[in-house]
Amino acid sequence: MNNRVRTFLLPKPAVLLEPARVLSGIALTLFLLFLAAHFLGWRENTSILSGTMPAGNGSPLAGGLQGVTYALLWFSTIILVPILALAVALQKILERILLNHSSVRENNVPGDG
Amino acid sequence: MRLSGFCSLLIRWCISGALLILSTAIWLPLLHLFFKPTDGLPPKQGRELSPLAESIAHRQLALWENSENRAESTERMRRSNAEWDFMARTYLVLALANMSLRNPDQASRYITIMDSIIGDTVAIERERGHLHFLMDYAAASRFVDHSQRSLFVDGEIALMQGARRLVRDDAWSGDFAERVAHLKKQMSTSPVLCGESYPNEGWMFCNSIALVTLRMSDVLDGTDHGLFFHQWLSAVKQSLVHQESGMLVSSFTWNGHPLDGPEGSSIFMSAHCLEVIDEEFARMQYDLAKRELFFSVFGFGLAREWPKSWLGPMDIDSGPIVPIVEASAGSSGMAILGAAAFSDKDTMRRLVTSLNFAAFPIEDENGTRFAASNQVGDAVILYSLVQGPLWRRLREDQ
Repeated sequence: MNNRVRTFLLPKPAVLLEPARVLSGIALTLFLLFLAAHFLGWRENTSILSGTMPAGNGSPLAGGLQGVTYALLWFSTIILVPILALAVALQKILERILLNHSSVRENNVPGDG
Repeated sequence: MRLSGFCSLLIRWCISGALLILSTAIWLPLLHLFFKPTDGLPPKQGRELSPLAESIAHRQLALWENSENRAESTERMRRSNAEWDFMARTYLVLALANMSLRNPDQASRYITIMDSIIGDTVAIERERGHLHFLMDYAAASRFVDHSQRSLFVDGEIALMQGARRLVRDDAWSGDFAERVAHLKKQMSTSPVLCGESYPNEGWMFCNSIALVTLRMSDVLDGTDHGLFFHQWLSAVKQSLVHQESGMLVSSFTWNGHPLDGPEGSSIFMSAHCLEVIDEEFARMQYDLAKRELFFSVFGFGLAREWPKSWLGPMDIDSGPIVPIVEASAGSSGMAILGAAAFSDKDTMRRLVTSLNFAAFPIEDENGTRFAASNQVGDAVILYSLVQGPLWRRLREDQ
């Protein structure tokens, strides 16, 4: 196993707790869960929000739970996912700026070259 | 993990926290732009319907042209509330009457559907009685009024018939006149001139609709209810106004003791109906309702079911209420009707933005519907988008 693959599969704990990694993980998970709920057809069951029984012959309780879950995942995806993605992007930009700034400073240390 | 590594991670999390706050501050004010209606407030006049109205109408008409689809949709509503089955009919007929007056070329098609809806409703009423369109508790006791009739059922059937006749006056005149006579009699015998929708329970919503049907009778059949309207307004202002908010209460006993306070799913329709009786009072009720119930967050508009000043019991049939903000789908939907009726473009734009965001629109080859709503909710939205010509006829003839 080369080093790069090993780092990906078995990351160090500190890497797992990296903010950018955690935030993107949450965003991706929410988005995938929403996609799953959407393709399972749970959008139909959001009728429960107006007090109307969900469609189909299944149990009203299960349908209602699916409708509420879909609504929560929709609101999370539309509200939280862009916020998380934006925060990660801003963090990456900030890190790049700081890295460039420190490498310029290191290059400018007198007597270093 | 070394201490320096831990400190570095902690600092990075602090920076991420700050960036999350910044991202939230950037994203939330922009979010409504993705759900803002593109076609704005529909005009009060003119043939053209907005694309949303066209699409909802297409679906609603298809439901009445295909009884199988309607049966499934109706059954779902009836499992929650039998009234919704009835009200979906009323709002669709009102919408079709307005669409016919806007575009007379389509009137024949719409009249056929209106007659089909009214005919079906009257047939069910004759076969199964008023209780079919009421919630179960209606059967638990007797009406105070000797007629044992629900003003809700008579009022909305008469409203449908009157709306149909205002488009083309060649049907329903006998049944309409009989129901108007029942409504007037029921209302006149109550100390506050308001009839019962349920046993010993009058609703402002239904009584306001009954007033519109009396006004329709004046226009269509030459009756004169002017004095009754004057007496009704005096009685209601004296006994059925919630003192803290100045809004009309939503329900009361036969002798005029208030039950539920002002309610979002009722007051916006009541104000709309009162437009044909007393425009100034109607406008005042709308303005109060807006002040007490409407709120806006980041460009999204919502309406509370109850004003903050109401501390009494709450109605059980207004649908779920969102905790904390206390908004409800019923109140927010009816607020769209209120905003459209009173040409409040900004409020309507914010409410429709919320509708696009949180009511889960589904568009397919049959048209548009809102998954979080139902047939009656969609019919109310359609009516909000096309209303205007019918009420204008009732006001012009005053």
